[in-house]
Amino acid sequence: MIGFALRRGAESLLLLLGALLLVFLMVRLTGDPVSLILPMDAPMAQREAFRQTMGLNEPLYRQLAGFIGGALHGDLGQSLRFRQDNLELIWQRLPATVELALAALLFAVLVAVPLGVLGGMNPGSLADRMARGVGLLGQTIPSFWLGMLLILLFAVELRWLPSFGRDSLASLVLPAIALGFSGMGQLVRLTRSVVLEVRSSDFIRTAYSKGLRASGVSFRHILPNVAIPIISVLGIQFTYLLGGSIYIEVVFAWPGLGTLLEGAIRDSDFPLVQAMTIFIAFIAISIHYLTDLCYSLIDPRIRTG
Amino acid sequence: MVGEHSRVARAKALVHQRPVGAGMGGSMLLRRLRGNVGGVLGAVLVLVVVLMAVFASYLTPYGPAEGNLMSARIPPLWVEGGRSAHLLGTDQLGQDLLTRIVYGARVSLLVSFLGVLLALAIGVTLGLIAGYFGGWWDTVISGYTNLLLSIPYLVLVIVVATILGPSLTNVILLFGVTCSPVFIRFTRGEVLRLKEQAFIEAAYGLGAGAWRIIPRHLLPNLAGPLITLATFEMSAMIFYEAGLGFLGLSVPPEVPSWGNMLALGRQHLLTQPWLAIYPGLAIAITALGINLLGDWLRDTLDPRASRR
Repeated sequence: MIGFALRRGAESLLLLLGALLLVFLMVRLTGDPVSLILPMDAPMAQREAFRQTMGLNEPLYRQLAGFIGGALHGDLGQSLRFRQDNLELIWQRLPATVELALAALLFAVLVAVPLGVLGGMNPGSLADRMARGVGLLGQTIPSFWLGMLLILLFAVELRWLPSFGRDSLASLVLPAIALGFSGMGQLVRLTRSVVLEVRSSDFIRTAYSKGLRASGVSFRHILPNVAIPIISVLGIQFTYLLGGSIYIEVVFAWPGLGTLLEGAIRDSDFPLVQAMTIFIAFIAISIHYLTDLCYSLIDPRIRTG
Repeated sequence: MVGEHSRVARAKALVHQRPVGAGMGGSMLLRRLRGNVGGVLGAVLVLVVVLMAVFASYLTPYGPAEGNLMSARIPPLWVEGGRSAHLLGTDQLGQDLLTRIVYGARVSLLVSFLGVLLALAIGVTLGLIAGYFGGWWDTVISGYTNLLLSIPYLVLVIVVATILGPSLTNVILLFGVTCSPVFIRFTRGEVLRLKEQAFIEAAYGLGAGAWRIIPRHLLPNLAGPLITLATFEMSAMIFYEAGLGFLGLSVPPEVPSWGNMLALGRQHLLTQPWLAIYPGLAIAITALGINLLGDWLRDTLDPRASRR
């Protein structure tokens, strides 16, 4: 177990270093960072001064060492627009995004798991057809469009819920549904197919042949085995929602990481964009690592494979 | 590996998931299509969108950038104030919405088709090399794959698009490169699985080399699932392109793309809601068509499905 944790930990650390290198190279190799950051009409003197302060005149390997060294110490540079530490800005906005992503995940799980289980247990039934329909819809409706439709219906027409901002629990409802919708589709598909697979496995046939009643088999044997793969994808779903929240936050003017990133892109605040990419990659890699650890605790077969 | 990143896991689930009772005997594709309502609907929808894109200039009475300020902000026909000259209404420049939606199909289809083609070319090549030759090749290629997959996809795409700047070529290149890991992983995994099978071992035992085994034995077995996977990736790519356009990072803003139109629709959501509703509907209908077609392709093309 400890060997597995260490091995996967080392892999995760390598991935993180790779992500840092990737971000660094993307900015440096696709052109002059100065022209990305400063306005087009900036005078030469200002460009030169900027190069000096950013250390862009130093050799590339020195810049890379400084960049990675800083990142590993938690220094992700300064925002051009806010004149503030990038990491501080990110920490301020993080709770709103985590709240939104968790609410979206909750919505997705609450709808998808019961529907997927019902559908998988009764193939061909109404519930099954609904599960397949929801699974398909999740793949065909863009989240940010759904968000705008929800605003038009529930905020403008019916006036039930607020359409933007983060004031009360009510303002969380619409963005959470819009964000969770496509994840819900994926979860329904997954749950349904896992239930179908477990139902037809040998140990279930054995349970029936021992004379157990159908309800006993469902609750004692099928559902626990369905739960494991579903729990294991929740962590990954969460990182997926962090990315998807960028669009939803823009639609609903939600004060989280997404609107921060959108603003940084609009103002060409490149240091902030870079810092946010690294931060989000770090979170995603950590969550994958933790998911793998949890999974290997539940299912020992993973550790050796 | 358990911590399989959601996009790859989803891709695999989509390709390998078969409904109960699937697995008809081998016969012609078209004859199979006839009995499948979803497949027919999907094919028709996709065909309509393709025709829209190809014949846009013949189908529309206006040019894509032809505006008339005298007829700006007209709502759709069935809303009060609508005019029959503009079925779905106009935007603040007086440009006809339906015309722009028809032209927008060009951007979506071009980006998703060429993007997937590029991703497929990169992915299958690298996946075959990693899976077939293994060793050092595999370490490098898998490292690259894991690295690209470690950053949440939407964030990766947004950052690269910011650096590259908005242009059609850049968007296609961007999707081609960033989507390739899905195909690399899939191809590599399938090659590793196929290599263990008796017919490959037999070919190897008879003295066949890589140049015979890869094109004659591996590629034909990969083609079906890869086409299915490419179909689903195409529908996902239409979403990603629209998302980039929504943030102003896809094609330049004056080009009529569904994403750019949605970005405009968001700005005028409360006053001219039709500007947001109909471009999104076009995306949803296209994605529905491609997904239905993909579901049907998966059930029909997968060699393992038809062997059972």
